[in-house]
Amino acid sequence: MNTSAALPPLTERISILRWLRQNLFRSVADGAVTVLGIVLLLSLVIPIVTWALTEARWQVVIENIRLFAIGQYPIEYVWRVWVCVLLLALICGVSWGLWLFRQRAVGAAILAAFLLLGLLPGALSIPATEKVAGFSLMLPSLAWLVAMSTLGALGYAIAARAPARARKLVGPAWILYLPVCFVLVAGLGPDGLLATVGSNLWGGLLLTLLITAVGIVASFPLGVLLALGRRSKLPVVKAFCIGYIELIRGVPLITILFMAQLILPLFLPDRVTFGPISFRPEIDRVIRAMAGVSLFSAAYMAENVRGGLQNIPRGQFEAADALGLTATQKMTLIVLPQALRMVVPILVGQFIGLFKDTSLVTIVSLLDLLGIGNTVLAQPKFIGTQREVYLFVAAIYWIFSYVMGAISRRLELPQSASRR
Amino acid sequence: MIQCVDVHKWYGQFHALRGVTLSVARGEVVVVMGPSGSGKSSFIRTINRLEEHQRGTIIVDGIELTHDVRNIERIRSEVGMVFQSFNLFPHLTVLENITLAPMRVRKMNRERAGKIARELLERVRIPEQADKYPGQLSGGQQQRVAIARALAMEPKVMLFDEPTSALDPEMIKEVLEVMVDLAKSGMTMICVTHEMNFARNVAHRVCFFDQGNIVEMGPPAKLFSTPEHERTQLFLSQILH
Repeated sequence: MNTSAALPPLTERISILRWLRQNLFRSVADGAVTVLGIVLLLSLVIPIVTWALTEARWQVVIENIRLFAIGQYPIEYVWRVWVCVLLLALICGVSWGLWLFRQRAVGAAILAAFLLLGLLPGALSIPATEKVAGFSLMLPSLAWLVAMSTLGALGYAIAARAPARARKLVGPAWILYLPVCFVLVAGLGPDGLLATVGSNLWGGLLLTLLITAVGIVASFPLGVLLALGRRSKLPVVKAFCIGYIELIRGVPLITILFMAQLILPLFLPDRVTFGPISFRPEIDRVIRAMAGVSLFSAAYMAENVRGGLQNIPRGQFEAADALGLTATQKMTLIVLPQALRMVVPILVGQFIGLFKDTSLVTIVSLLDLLGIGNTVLAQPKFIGTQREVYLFVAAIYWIFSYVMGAISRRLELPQSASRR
Repeated sequence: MIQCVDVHKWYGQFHALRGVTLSVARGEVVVVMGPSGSGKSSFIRTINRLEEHQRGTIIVDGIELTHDVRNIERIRSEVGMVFQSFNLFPHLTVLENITLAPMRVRKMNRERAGKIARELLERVRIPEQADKYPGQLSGGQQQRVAIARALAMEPKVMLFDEPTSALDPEMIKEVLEVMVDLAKSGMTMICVTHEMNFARNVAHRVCFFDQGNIVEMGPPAKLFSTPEHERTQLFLSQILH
């Protein structure tokens, strides 16, 4: 008894060899499976790695990086996209300082996403056709990266110095962020600094992220309202919500996108006249795609939120009633905060799905990340580089999805700790 | 303070309350006892309209309970309630649980509500728990927070729906002590409970419920020692063992 107490814990005594024997070669059959597995793995990985290092023509990605990042967005206005990224860095810095300062992993994940954002559009404020030495190509993008990290750090410092004021401002800042970005990207007037950039020129990762962001931001409140409506006692509201949710969930996203792009215009009148004002009703194609994605996502959001609402014990409603809270206060202060917290992991999963589903807008000929990939492949110079292009596109989707997932996993921890 | 006359309630076909009539004076402590399913919980839950009564009248502090939402909200803000399962809000701290209703319903400012909440926590003897979450407290502490939360609205009447039934024996005492203090301070109380000692020490009247109505009512000393109704005798002989 005494000797065993003096030994280090079991796990530390197991050497690598012993670990191998226990986990991989416990019996003859185990050993055979292990060897077979290694052989299979190597026979897959080796050719892929050799191909990636020797044969692959990564030139197709390097030369078209700007297309992948922002599509045909005019070069003289790229700084507007950059301002969006910088603003995001600032707000993220503040939020990180306020809420997540203990969580290095989240910080690292956000940083990784930023580096990617940074490398993409800026890199490459230079026309792809120009042959430039690596250094001068990197220079503007480096400057932007430095500006970005400075702003991020600034945000963090603000949050550390004046937490009370930062707390008041950060909510509105997040709410205003997307509209501001939209204005920056789309522009305001016919000319000047904020000249309009038609949505037909938006593309690549920029378009993908814009559709995703609008989709998430618009479908979230809509989904919550639908979920509440589905539980409503008013028969008309309830019937409408159930009808909407079941209809949308019964239809593929592609169908909805096609409806928005092709069928909706058929139903709009040629001219609309309100007294002196007369115009041709037209809805921007990108807006239509965003609306389609949001409306689609809202139905699923509603069902997920409903799951959370159903899990709130009846006692919570009764306690709120007994204190004399009004129905609205009961919902917004007691029920929804708990219900939404419960479904955070599911909602993030859905957001990741939505992010990847935006690639379907390719089919209605919008040039998102995947759509740009297809146009790049159509360049005569790069015929036959499907593997390189699709691998690159897949890697970008993966990185963003992974960052979203990592952040959500970290966000779940402190909440569960505070509850129990 | 509270007048209930001929209160009836049905759950579907089931006739849960069959003409309950009870008046409670200001400052009076009434304990309600009875076997499970006898309608005692349903009855006190009709007083703040957690359950709707279908016939009869209930008047609380001069306001009649009708379908008028404003009347219901007024009565609810005058009537505090403590539940068997505490029903604290798990996403808010203890202090936020207590200040929520005064700030939102009474429109009190944060400082004043916080000050009152801390005084109440002092009164229920857990001032040091203010910034914890309910999940971090023991059952007895949670129930005392729930009492403080109800008191923060400065109610004229407190309803207790089996406040100690979900607690371990050693925690029952700390909750009962708080309730005794409250009773002695002159609060009007209706308590559904089977704590004989509590009833004996502070109750002015004990009502015995069976099959949806009050079968016997009287001062605790009389009711416990010489119960008249057969059902009361049977029930008391069972819980005294």
